[in-house]
Amino acid sequence: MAKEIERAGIPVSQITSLPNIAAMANSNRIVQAHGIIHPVGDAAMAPEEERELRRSLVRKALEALQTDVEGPRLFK
Amino acid sequence: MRLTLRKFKVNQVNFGTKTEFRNGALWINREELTSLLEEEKRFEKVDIQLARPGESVRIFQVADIIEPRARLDGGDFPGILNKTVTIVGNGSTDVLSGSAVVLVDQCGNNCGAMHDCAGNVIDMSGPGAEVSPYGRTHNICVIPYAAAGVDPTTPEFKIASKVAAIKAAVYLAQACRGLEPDEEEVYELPPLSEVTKDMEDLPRVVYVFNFYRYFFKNEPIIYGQAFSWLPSVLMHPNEFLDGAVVNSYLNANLSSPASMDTYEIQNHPVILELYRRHGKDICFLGVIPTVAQVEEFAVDSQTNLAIKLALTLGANGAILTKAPGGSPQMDVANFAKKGHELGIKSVLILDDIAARSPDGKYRVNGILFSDERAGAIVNTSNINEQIILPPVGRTIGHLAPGADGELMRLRSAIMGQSGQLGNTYMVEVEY
Amino acid sequence: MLKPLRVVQYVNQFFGQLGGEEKAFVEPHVKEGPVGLGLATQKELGDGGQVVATVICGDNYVGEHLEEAIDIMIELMRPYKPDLVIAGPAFNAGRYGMAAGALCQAVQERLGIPAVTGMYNENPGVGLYREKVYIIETGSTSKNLPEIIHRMAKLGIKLVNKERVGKPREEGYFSHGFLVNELSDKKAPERAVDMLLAQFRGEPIEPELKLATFDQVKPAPAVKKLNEANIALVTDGGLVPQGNPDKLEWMAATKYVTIDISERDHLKGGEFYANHTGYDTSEVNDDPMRLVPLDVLRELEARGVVRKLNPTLYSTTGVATTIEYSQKIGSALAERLKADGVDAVILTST
Repeated sequence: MAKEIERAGIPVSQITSLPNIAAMANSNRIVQAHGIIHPVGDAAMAPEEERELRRSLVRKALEALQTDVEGPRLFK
Repeated sequence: MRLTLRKFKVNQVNFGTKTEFRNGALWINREELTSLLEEEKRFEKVDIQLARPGESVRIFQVADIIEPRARLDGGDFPGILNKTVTIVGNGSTDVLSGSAVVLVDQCGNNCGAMHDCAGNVIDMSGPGAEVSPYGRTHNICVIPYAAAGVDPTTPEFKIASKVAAIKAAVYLAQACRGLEPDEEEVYELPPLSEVTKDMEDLPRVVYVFNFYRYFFKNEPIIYGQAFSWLPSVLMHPNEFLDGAVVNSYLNANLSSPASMDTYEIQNHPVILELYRRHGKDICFLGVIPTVAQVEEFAVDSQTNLAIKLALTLGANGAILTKAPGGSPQMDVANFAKKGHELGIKSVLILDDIAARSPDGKYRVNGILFSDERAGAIVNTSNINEQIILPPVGRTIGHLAPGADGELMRLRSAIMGQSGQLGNTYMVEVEY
Repeated sequence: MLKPLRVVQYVNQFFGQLGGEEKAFVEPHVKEGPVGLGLATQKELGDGGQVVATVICGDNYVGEHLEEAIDIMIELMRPYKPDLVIAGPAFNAGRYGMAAGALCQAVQERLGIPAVTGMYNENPGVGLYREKVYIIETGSTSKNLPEIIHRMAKLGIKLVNKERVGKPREEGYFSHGFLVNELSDKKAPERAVDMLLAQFRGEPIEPELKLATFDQVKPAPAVKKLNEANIALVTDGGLVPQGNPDKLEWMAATKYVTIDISERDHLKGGEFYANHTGYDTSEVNDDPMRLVPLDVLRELEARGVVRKLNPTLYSTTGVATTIEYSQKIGSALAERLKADGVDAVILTST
């Protein structure tokens, strides 16, 4: 899906737990999510800690969006 | 380990005053069986219904199927029915061959109300029966009803239902106690230190059985336990035939896929085939069970352990099957890729969920990986195919009126289509 | 005895023995009986059939007037009341292959009879017509012509007699590309062991499913100024409002749904849930922002880090979604995002 959006010229930053699959499916800007059942959160965390996790993942995604890439790349 | 399956051929099932097996007929004391199952406090009641081959009957909301089996020493389904865990797979077990206990779920095999409530079906006649072995078995349907205040959508209720079906299966097979079976099948694999004798030139093959996705920690699956991540173990094939392992009932998000069931694990088509070829074409080393992982590092680390165990056993060949769903493809493909580098040749047995085009044809398969090293694939059919089931005279299940009418089901919702273990001649071919 | 089959053969100027490129502008015309390559067809048919006519057309002519040439050739064939048309084989000749494919399709549709052609796998006619027409695979040149003619005739006779056509590999034709369930003579585990043994013997194997292929797309350029960008949130974690009003599928999605977030700073459990079979959704159902980071994006919007958060959130279910549908959903969504004036997307996946 990311591929089709990118084909239209709109950059996509994908936060996913399965970066290898995302890369195979030609997603270009990939951020490792926190986990498959909670990509940008975690019930085991305190609310403020959870929000901080979310902030850092979104920050990473925005950083990826501002970066030119040649092909699939994982932003760590 | 030597397991003798004492097979009693069932060609009739009836309710009677006493539960007994006589001249090919299984008689069931309905009250005795229901009161045994109603010991569970989460049930208001348990209904028992019979469905016979050829009858115009449809069973809805099927969650699992169990072949009635009872060990002569009483150590059945260790960890589930009794906590005194027996080593199963060794000894003798009575089998009511040709019959099956069918568990009917109260809310359509899932815990939410939002899904299609008809769920997985068995038809006892017509095209649905033709594609499923359970259209040809004498089926004893176990239908639990939740007690007041018990939510039938909860895992606890579902596990209780699963245990009830297992109890029923053992109860029925105990009717064979002391009788002479119609035939005996012996399954024996010598210890690994002896197993390769006179088989030095044959491929040494492990079966890697990736068979469920962890969902709920209290679900009994392997010796009564569920594991989210399984450090590789070697299991004897007989353990699967003899109740050590039951199908994961809950699976991902509480949908119970029809593409695998406990009956099939008791009659495991891959294990039986490897036994059949053992000593002739291959040397069968044993079974490595694995749990489907979702996180990539977990897929990797579990694969590494399975590979390591296979190498330690001296395997140079592997047959792999996977848990239901798309992402477990990655678990088995990962093994094949790594195995290829380390001298293990693999064959994957995979179902397909092909894309249905608007014109009703299927053109693109649902394979998610592209690595040639995992390219040796045997297919068990496109389970996304639509099958129209004609109206039936009677239904078994909790469904609303109208459920006896024509019904479109995907092949994936027909019990016994065997998408994962391949107990089927069906295959997808590109024309 | 059965009535001999009436076959019409189509050939280009070369195989019609008119000449080479200098005759490539020859208009469609018909000759009684077998001509040129038709003689080989007649030999193959023996007493069972008769090449009643040969239609010949130059490759340049058909290349430049395809529709017209097909119309003419169909009408030239009609009086001969054929049971079967054999076109080519065209080997690697592009114009010839395109014409043969188009002609076979027209014969099937307008004359209501089967037609068979033959081509090399790189002939552009293969890609265009393989779904609708039986194309026997040939080499790039006319080597092995008798064998090719044999396969074409054999397949054509089966089609005329409405006999079951074997698998593409058995009959030697390019598959139409349809995936069909059928019965094998062995169960899957037996075939699996056989396939394993074949590997040990070093024999080639015939996998029963094709591997995935992924085409490469040039990455979209980076966002230059984030504080001037409209950012859209998209998820494939199956998020839907309670009640799932747009009926998003819980697996094998065929669409995306829209969620209006213009009035929202948060997504609350109870109002939304994840309709998805691929993972344990309980954590996301308790707090949907574990899937879609709306709160954080609102913060960033308020601080001016991004200009705007797109008022619509898009959601689909990424489990067991076929490649075909995920492409369809993706391109439909791309159109929508363009219409929204979206500059960049954050996609969250489970």
